[in-house]
Amino acid sequence: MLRLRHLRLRAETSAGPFGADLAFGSGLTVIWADNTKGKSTCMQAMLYALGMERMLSPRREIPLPHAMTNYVEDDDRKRHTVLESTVALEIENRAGQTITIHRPVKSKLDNRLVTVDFGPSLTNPDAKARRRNFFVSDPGAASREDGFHYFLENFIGWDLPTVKRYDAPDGKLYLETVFPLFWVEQKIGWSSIPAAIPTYLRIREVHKRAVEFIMDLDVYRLELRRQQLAEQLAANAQEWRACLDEAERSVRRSGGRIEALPPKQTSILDQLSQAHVLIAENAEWLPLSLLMSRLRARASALGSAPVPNVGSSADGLAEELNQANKRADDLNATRLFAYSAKQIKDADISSLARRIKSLEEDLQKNLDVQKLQRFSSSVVEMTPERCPTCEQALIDTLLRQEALSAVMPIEDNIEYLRSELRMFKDILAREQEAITELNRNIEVSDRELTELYALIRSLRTDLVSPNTSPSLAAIEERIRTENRVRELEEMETTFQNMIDQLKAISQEYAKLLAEQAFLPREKLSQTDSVKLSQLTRIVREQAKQFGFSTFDPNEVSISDDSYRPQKEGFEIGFETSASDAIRLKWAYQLGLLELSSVEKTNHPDLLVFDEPRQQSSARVSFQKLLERASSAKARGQQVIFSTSEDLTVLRGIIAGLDCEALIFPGYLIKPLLSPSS
Amino acid sequence: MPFETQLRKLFDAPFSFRSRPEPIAGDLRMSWGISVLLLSLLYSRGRKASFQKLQFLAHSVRIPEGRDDVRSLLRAELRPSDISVRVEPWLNRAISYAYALGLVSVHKGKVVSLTDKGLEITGDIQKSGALAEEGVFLKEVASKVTDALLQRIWRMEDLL
Repeated sequence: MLRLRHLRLRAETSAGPFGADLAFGSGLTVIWADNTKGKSTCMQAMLYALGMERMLSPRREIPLPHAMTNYVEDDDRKRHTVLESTVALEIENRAGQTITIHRPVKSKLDNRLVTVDFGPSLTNPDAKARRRNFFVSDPGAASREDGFHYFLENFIGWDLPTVKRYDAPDGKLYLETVFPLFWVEQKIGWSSIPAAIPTYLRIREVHKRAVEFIMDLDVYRLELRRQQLAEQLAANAQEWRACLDEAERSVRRSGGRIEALPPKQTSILDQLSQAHVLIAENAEWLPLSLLMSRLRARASALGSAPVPNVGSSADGLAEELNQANKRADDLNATRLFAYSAKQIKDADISSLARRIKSLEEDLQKNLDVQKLQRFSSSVVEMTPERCPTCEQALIDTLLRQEALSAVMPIEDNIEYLRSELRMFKDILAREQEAITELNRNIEVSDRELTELYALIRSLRTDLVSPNTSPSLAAIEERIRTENRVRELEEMETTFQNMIDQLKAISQEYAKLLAEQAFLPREKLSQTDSVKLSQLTRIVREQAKQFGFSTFDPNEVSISDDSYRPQKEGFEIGFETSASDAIRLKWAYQLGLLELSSVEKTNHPDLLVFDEPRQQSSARVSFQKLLERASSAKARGQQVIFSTSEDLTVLRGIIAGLDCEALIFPGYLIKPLLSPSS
Repeated sequence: MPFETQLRKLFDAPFSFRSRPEPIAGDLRMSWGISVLLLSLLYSRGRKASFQKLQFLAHSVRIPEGRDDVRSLLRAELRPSDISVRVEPWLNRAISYAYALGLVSVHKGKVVSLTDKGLEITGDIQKSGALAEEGVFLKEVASKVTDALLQRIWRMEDLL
């Protein structure tokens, strides 16, 4: 909440001090003064005190007229040069905290300096309040602790959202873009409905973001959350893939492969417990657990028996060597076969790649032809249907005309090439899969061969050793078996670790999916829709009350896309008269204010209307407006309305209303009587 | 049973076959060939070129390997005799059509030059964004490929 309590303008001039003091009521306050008497100076001065000058223009100039910067006129039309001037504004927030903002206008001080008294210095000068300096209208004013807008945002009790920008990384929604929704300034404020929101701050869809913030709609939060979820899901999938790849590599190194593991992340943990490792052993794939128990049994058998002598096992050794040699021959044959199959596949793959490349080139040419046909027809047709010389029909080719009977239209030709490309790419993927499988087989047989050769070597050594020496083959088998058991144990640990990791990823995935399912399908949340229909209701009611006549006010609704008033899905534009546009603007902005008393919004419960400069064509009776606005007090809201309407008319209107009237017969900024005089 | 009779038995509704129009390579389309011709002339000195030069450019612009060869030749990394060149039959037709459409003119049956209308079209071709690779190549080499160099390539003089 933001409540304006008191405004003070002070100008030190060549003819002594000048100034103005405006005390605002808690409900409706009507300010009256004749034209060019300083009414708008006061209204602009409030914006200036709040550091909102960039709401009016991107330039960093002081948005105040001559009265505060150059010279003041007294009631006798005499001019006095302004030597120094300041504005001060006392405001209050929902918590009842009152602060006073001082900002120099014409001064030796830098006008980017804002001084805040933490107390009601204007209405209670005796209160000695703590002071603090802030800076404004410089980069960082909205985000740094010493920035005035950062302070003001917190003071009002807002938490402005982070929004997408055109040119820079995401940034905060600025106060300057939100203020126009409850502060209608005289010069540009009336130019659009709902509000003249500055776009030069390069915030994407800034009009929507500002309305969403003031109405506290969920829609943008939902949209952001949806995007975040999509990104998190993609990251989750990537993590899964990376974990899987890593595990597959390490299992493959030990001659194994992982089975029954889903290639994409899953939220069903059961699917993970089905995964297991297979190890190639003597040309068949055995489950890791089975192989391990076998090898362990073998290792313990070998370990418990004494190492045999060469002599006691000589016959067996010869036979074993024979077997090993045979097995090595078999394996070599398989390996050769796999290598030649691989060569063929390699050749296939490179010819497929060549084919895909040339198809892609041809596709590019076809796309070029399509562009040429679409573009150059403005001057002359480069694909004539008839011969320019003899008027015979032509088909679109540079081959001999008799060579083809009909040529595919270029669009079909492009589609044809694309489907061909798709087909060849599919074949390529399949071939690559096959070659991976072949490589795996080769790796397995390589590994087994290495072991066999080692066995053959030790068998041979045994056969030529003295009978009494211990069998080298037996010792080596024992060591090899024990090593293998250790290696497989390590692999099992790696695999189990991976499964644990995947389980964590899975749980994260399930959580993300659940959240995605929980988000509403519609763009707007249910409360959003309620708020928009409430706003529509209030706007219609008021448009009727204010005498909106271009069409039936019941046809006005608030677009749930642009949040602008619309009629039958079309934004209301020039078809309304200028005075109806003003009525609709009143209705919308008062609507936002009233909505805040029935729904939870971020509206500051404050509305400021600075009446547009004399536009005789758009003089609209604001009796009904003031009647409606005067109900603000009962809702604890504040409305400030400045006008130069005929004073007798105005007095008639406000006589029966509960409102504060500040009537200034001459200039608002007057010579101040010094206490001594 | 003939195939068509078998098919007719399978479907209960009457149907007929229609021959499909034939797909052709993109570089055999009229607009592609004519555009390449016009761009070749645009980037040649005086916006004109001999048949011989146009044949050479048309042949080399068609595929990336051809373009790379010519670039290597101009950097003297390849000799003229390393470059293969052949007569592109489509080029003569492209010239005929372009002539009939008033985009080029032919002098004494030897030299082809760009007309004002043809020049206007090259602007459109560039605006359309088509033939990007080809355009870059032609801009780079067309003015550097001289008739003397062409003589050496066509006649394989280096081998004599």
